[in-house]
Amino acid sequence: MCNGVTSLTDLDAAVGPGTAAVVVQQPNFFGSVEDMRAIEPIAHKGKMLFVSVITEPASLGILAPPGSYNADVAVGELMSFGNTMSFGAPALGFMAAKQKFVRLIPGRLVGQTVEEGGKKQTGYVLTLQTREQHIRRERATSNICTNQSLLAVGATIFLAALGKQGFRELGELCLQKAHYAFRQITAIPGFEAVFSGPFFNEFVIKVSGSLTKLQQHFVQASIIGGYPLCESYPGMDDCMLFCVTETRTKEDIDLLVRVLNEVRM
Amino acid sequence: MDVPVESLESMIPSHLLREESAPLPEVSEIEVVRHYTHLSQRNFGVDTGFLSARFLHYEV
Repeated sequence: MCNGVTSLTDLDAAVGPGTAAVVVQQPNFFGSVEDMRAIEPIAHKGKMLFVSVITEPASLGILAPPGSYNADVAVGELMSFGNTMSFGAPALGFMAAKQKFVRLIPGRLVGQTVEEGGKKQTGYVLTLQTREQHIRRERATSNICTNQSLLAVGATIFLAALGKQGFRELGELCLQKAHYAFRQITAIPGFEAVFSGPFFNEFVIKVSGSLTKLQQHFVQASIIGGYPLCESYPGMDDCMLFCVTETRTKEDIDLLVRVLNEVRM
Repeated sequence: MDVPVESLESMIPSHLLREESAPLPEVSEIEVVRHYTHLSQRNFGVDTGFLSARFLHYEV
């Protein structure tokens, strides 16, 4: 890592003939925006696959989509498209790939067609389903074990209701609100930015005081505060990851800033 | 937008931004509601008609 994003020199040194794929999350765990166009030539050395992971799909309202930087596979999470948090579940994901990998994708592909004669109605059929689903049973690579269709339909309706303009505005809301929170928080003495690169709606703040004391203040103010990075990144014990989505209001952010100010005092 | 707005390019360098809007439909809310309500009514099941054991074939 270098300033919160993938180091191109480290990545270049790490990949070799035995590397199957380069998997990069965009925006990454710290919320930083990776330069996927700069990573792509390294990720495509030899026969490697370039996999893009989108854990916050609202970012695609403004950030370049995986196809534009020549990713082979794109996977991600879609909970933020009209579904509820529900204490972490249920969730749904997506998987997309270039046409040449279609037959390797687990699961089934539904194709759209038109009826012959008569009303010429649109119909949907299972265009591609691997035979192994019927004959290999438990050894198959692509069994459909849970059905998240309801969540998928919800996400589809959410996107249809947003449309082109609304989807862009969703991304802008997350971006503007997160950057407002970032400016307010980093203006408080004792709270400083860890990385200087571009971010979408998550950012890392270094806290000069005690994180435990900070967490107690959050609880008293009925706020679920930032995520302490000590749990995932040793050496970042005094750092906290904050996230601001389109669902937060200016009042919410101002309350958070007020609590942080009280901790300082 | 209830927070002060900054220019997009001041926050994210332009080469990281998407150049074209996502290819999403541009329809009114009532059209979305009608479309999906219509789809839901095209589903055949025990709530809408006779369902024999033949239909209950369920693949895992």
